[in-house]
Amino acid sequence: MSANLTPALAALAERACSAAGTDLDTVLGDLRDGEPHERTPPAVRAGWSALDLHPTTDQQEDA
Amino acid sequence: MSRALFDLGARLRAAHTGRPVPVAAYGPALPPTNALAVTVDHDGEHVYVNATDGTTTLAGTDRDGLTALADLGATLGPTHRTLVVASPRDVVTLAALARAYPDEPAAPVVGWWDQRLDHPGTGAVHAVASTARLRWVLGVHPDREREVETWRTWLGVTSSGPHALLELARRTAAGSTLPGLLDANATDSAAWERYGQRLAAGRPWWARDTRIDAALGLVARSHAVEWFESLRLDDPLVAVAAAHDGTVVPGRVAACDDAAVVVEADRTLSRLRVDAKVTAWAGEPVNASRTACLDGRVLAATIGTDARLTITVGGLVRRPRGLAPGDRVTLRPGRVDPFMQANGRRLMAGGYHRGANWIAGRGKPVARRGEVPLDVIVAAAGD
Repeated sequence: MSANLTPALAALAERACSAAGTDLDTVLGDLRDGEPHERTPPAVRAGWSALDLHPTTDQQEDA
Repeated sequence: MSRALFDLGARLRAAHTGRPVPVAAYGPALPPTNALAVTVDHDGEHVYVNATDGTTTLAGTDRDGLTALADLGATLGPTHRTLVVASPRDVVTLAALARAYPDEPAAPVVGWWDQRLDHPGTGAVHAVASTARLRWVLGVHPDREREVETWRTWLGVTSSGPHALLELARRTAAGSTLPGLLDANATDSAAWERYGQRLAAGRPWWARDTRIDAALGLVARSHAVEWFESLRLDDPLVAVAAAHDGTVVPGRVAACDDAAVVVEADRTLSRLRVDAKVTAWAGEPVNASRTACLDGRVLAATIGTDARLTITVGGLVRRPRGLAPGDRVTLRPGRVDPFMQANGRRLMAGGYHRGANWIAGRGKPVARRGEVPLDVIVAAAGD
């Protein structure tokens, strides 16, 4: 599931998820594949979707 | 932990899409002014400098490196130029080189850049990696974001050396600039003018600060940090992230009258201390650019038996118009006014030049006892 993460980022993410009482595969399954899971910490979900809250200059340039 | 998880979510999104994820809606740096981009390398014995102004590229070792900077226009003139470097460490290396060859025409300019580096928001020095991190997060381990090469790859910059630094700086500052940041340009210009006047009056650029200059310089640096942090909270995406470390507190108005407003926070997470100046806007953190609907001080912050955090804001500057129980608001620390800061520094300078001021080296400090919050003592003990 964490195939496209660099090993260093995967290790960091695994530690953070573990400390939050969940695991990385569950979180990635939720965020990437749209399988909602209550074990995904709301803060991780908020960070994932923050970009969608506000059109940034980057998005305006892309459009 | 909440903020760390928020950052992780953005980082995972970047890794998933293979694109940088914006963490700021506005450009967090002023567009470079007449910029000089410089790569700096050193082996403990020599410093190797490679610099460009965008058209001409010059290189040199040690003294010749400073000569290259001067040839590209890094000399004392009517207006300052922006130095673009990979990291603040490069400025430190350049400053050490300048002190080794203080008579070089570029040396005093490097000394000024070294001073301005300590002022967040400055347009005088643009450290590419640390500034880009204010705008995007990448799908890599955070440590790798400290490397310019990582940014070059993720932002698709094909040039290399100082040209790549210039391109990265332009991209980071592109688009709408963070509102209010232009004030930094006036501050830089004033600092450049004052620096030039002192050198013209015969003060060596490498001379140590006087006690008064050191004290005022410390205050100016501290003010710059406070001002820039305050300004950044007006960026919607920055405010969204700050809601996860308690710097801004979204919630719902629980009670409201002319004397006080009680806000029930969404989470038991707040850095707004009792007596802190706060302001609020209507809506969610993402509505950060809205006009303030509430200005006052935190009178109380309590957690009830229902485990909900309520923050009471009193000492209101004006009646809280248009607010009613049930309304969504977001609290943040009071905005820092750069003009008030400048006035404060002027008053301090007046005090330092007057009478028996011990900071200015006249008289002895008078011992005074005061109350220090316990968390400050604990933090000091930790240091």
